[in-house]
Amino acid sequence: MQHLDEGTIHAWLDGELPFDESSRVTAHAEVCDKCTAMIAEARGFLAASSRILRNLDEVPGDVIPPGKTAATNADGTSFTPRDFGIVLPVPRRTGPRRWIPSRFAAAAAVTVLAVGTYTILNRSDSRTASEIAIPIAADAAPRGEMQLMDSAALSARNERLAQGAGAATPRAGAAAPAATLPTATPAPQRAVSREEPASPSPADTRAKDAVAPAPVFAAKESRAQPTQSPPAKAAAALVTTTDSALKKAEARADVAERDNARFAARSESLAGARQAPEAKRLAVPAESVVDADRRRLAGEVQAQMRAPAVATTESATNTLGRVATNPTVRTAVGCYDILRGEESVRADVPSSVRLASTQVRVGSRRLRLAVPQGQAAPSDVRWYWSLGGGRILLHKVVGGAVEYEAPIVAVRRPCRGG
Amino acid sequence: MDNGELERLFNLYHQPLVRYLTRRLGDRDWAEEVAQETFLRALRQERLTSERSWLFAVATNLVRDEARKDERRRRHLELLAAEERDRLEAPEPQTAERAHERALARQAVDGLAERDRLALLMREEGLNYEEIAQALGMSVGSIGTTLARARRRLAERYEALQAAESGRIGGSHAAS
Repeated sequence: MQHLDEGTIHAWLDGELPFDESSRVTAHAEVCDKCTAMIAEARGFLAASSRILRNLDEVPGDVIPPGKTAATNADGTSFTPRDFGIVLPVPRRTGPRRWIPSRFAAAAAVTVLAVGTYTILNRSDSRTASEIAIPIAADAAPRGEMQLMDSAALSARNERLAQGAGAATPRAGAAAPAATLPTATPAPQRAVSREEPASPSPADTRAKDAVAPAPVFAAKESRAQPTQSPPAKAAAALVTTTDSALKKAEARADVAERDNARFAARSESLAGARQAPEAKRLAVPAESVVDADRRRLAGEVQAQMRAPAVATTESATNTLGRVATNPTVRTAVGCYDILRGEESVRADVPSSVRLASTQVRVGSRRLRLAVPQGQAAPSDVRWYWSLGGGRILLHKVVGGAVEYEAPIVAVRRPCRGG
Repeated sequence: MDNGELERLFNLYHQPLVRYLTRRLGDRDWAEEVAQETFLRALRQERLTSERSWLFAVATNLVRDEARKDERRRRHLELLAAEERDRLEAPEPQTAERAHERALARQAVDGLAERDRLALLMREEGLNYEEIAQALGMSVGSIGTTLARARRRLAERYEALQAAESGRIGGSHAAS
């Protein structure tokens, strides 16, 4: 048999040769050193070309760049995606490992910090910085429009909360995950929580057992206030996070609950400190956290305090109206599931959409491309998006003219594909 | 084609098609648009006999047609998109090393002959030789040779670019 040519070798390596020819190549390769060397070389080229082509793939779309979860405007105010009624997911690992760890760690750290902060603040009667900053959508959007968690996580979360909080669960109906979201009404939830005895659910108990030996940051914080109830934890869990992070934070809170009696006396003295304006602003008793945590927490709370965007609906709208600038757009770009049930969302609005940064002039307006996902639109229909009034507006363009435009409420999800 | 059939096609081929187009065009948004248009065209077909090769062929032709027809507008949009990316995403999503690798890969891929490049990109998306031949209007027998040439050239070119880059960096270090 003649030596193998390069094309045949590649076809053989690709499994594209007919059986008889493939057998001949195999037999020849076993006895011919030259062809064996060529095959080895071809394998190298094959592997190398695949690797080179993979370099062309984009960064997974669902990775949150560090520092982008809360962007800062030119005027020093900060804003987050929740200002637009959207939810940042916790990044999931879809690409090579090197992309994930630092971002995930950053997101997890911020989440745990936020949960801890809110847990503490939720026990205070007065409305403090974090209380208004964390459930941003409660202020930035009308009640019922806020969607703060991944729907699957929410469903599971609601079930757990239903066990723990009983009648205090804000809304019933587990069939539609988005509809089961607790509305962000921290004050009524607290009122209910005082009437309800703190009775840990089996899940809570398991979690408590799992982490009991390690009362850490959240536990230390919760010592400041002995009366934490499941509904209070429900409010704390409005912060988007991973399920495991939630469980850990919850378990830590439970550990703290168990230690409440022991720290009651200390809490009383700290409660006095909380009455002072500065203590209230930081919302965390200085003694209750270790130095490093305190520094981070102080930075976080101060950043939130600086942001008029999260204070009231009006100021949020005004601020965001001014700052539809690059960081805002950058924060909003990604894939979303649009929540149905909103009056403004018409039936023809795609259920899933990817908001791209590409800007296009439509008539006199500059809009950005919105690509429907998972379904095809008629050829003359294009979707675009823009920011307005502190919300994401979806535009339907038919034949070059905007036919329809409305705010959407959406849950962010990882983008599929390269 | 009914909606159910389209959905099946979409679920099966959207991701590889967008990845193929993204690698081909270097622009994810453009790739999404072309992919969308491709599926719309599929919707208008009564029946597709060789669906994967048909989709990849149509997507390839759309890229060609659009590039021919509307080069200026596209360039403008590309500029806008690039500008946007530069302004908004420049430092963070990529490490310098990855950005560098990506630029080299883009250069190496762009240096291939069009047919070699398309065959290689299609093969990377799992198309078999027959499908590639159908999509590109070639004979099945020539695909192995085309791929062999494409892979060799890509690897060699990439290596050469890397070597040139290291030489340049080494030279500048030596000069300083």
